[in-house]
Amino acid sequence: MGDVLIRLDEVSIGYGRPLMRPIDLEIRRGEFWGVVGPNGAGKTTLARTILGLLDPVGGRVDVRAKGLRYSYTPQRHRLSASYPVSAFEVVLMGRTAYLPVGRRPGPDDRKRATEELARLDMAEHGKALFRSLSGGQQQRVLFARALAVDPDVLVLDEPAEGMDLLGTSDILRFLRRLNADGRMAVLMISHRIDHVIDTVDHLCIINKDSDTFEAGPVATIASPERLSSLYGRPITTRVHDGRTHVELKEV
Amino acid sequence: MPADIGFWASSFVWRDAMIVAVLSASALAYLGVWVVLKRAVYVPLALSQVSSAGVVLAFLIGAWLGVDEHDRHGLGMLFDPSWMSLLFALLTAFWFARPRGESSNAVVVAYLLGSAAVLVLGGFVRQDLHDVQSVLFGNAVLVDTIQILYVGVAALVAALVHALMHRRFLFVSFDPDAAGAAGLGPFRVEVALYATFALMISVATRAIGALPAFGLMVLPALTGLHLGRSMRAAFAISVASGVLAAGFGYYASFVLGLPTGASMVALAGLVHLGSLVARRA
Repeated sequence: MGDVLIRLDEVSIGYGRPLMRPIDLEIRRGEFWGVVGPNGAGKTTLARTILGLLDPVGGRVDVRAKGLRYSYTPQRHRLSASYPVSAFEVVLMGRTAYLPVGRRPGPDDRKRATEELARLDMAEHGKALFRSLSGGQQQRVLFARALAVDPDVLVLDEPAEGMDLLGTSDILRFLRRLNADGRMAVLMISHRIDHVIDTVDHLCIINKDSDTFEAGPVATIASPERLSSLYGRPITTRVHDGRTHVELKEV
Repeated sequence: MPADIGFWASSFVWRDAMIVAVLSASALAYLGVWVVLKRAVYVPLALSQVSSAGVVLAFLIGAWLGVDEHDRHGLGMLFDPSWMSLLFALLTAFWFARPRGESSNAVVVAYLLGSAAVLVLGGFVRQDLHDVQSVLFGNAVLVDTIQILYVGVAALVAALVHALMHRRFLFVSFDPDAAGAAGLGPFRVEVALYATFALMISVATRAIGALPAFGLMVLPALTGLHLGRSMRAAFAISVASGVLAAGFGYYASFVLGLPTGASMVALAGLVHLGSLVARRA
């Protein structure tokens, strides 16, 4: 088992007051976690707490061990479309955080940014304005930015947000290959259980409205009973062609 | 043209004012690009009002302490209108730099409180009204030579901060959550950015007036961002149109006998409207 990178100990998440009962969570290097729940369930609040962007209302969050690198790709709608920055410049931003004040990105930083753009099939769009790219292309650029710093912890918030079938399929295929070497811990937040369940090895289900929080291996957590309880509708799961499929039962 | 001859022949009258206007315009237009990108266009207006409240308070305290306006020592120096104006603007900038501070009601509250304080406290200032008005809102026609130094130093400090922190400002402004996750400390970076706004606005308001300071921060930046296809181009176009508006606006006001600050702003507005038309054509 990899070393523990994130530990939540009796943590209450929320903005000023707890959204739900205190939660415990331990995330290790090499694990690929999915955080699922309905819209407005508290997923992004949990992610922001884990990343240190939001102070917990109570409890203790052990993150940011010295030397560890954290990358976050937020939901795209949170970004402003008015910045005249190229895709390459966006990728380079990620490297900026680790440079001393006043230092410009050097050849190594540029090389790394170029490599990640190429890895995500975005090499030819490096000079294009970020705002002129399609949603799927923007998402790839944000992935490239996150990966260009060789993170220990990568948090992806709704990575398939606003994408068509093809774009979603490409992104999910990329994510499945992403952590093959087990070098980092990945946390993928999504309201689409069908996207997550077949991609990750650990699952966190959360819903502040029903005070639900459970975390563990997918095989344990993704039971029809738990998912039905999470979404408030009967849900079944079945394995087909080696993949887990989630189906909503007609009521 | 006789008017031209009159303008150039009387350069000793307008030289300092022109230098201050062009210097202020270039720094404000550069910073304005950030202000517009951050959708914080009312921030300079609020900063200007709050710094004006600082000036009025300085006059009141000075009067209470019996400070001679032309011979400030000790406590009198501490409550100098320039320092108080800057201090108030910096404190407000610190407030705005909080997460979502610039987009919240904080800007409106600061603007209204600053405006109310100027009007309420201003009634108690026994100083000659013209003196107070001149310090509060500047005088783009005639400026003290010392204003060149103030504006020059402020612009230099702002330029230095931006040269050192440009990329951090960009990351934190574009994607504060990702920057925070990477450990950049968005609040610290935002404080540095807003402090440069406060510095330049408080100095420029006193040097050229509230309306031109606000107008030259916002209008050239809108032009730059409308025409620029990169951050560098946006900054360059913004600064160029700001300098053009300040220089030719001053010239037009001198030759045609128009209000100086308003002429600068009107020209900056016309340049922006021209950019909208040019982009459509």
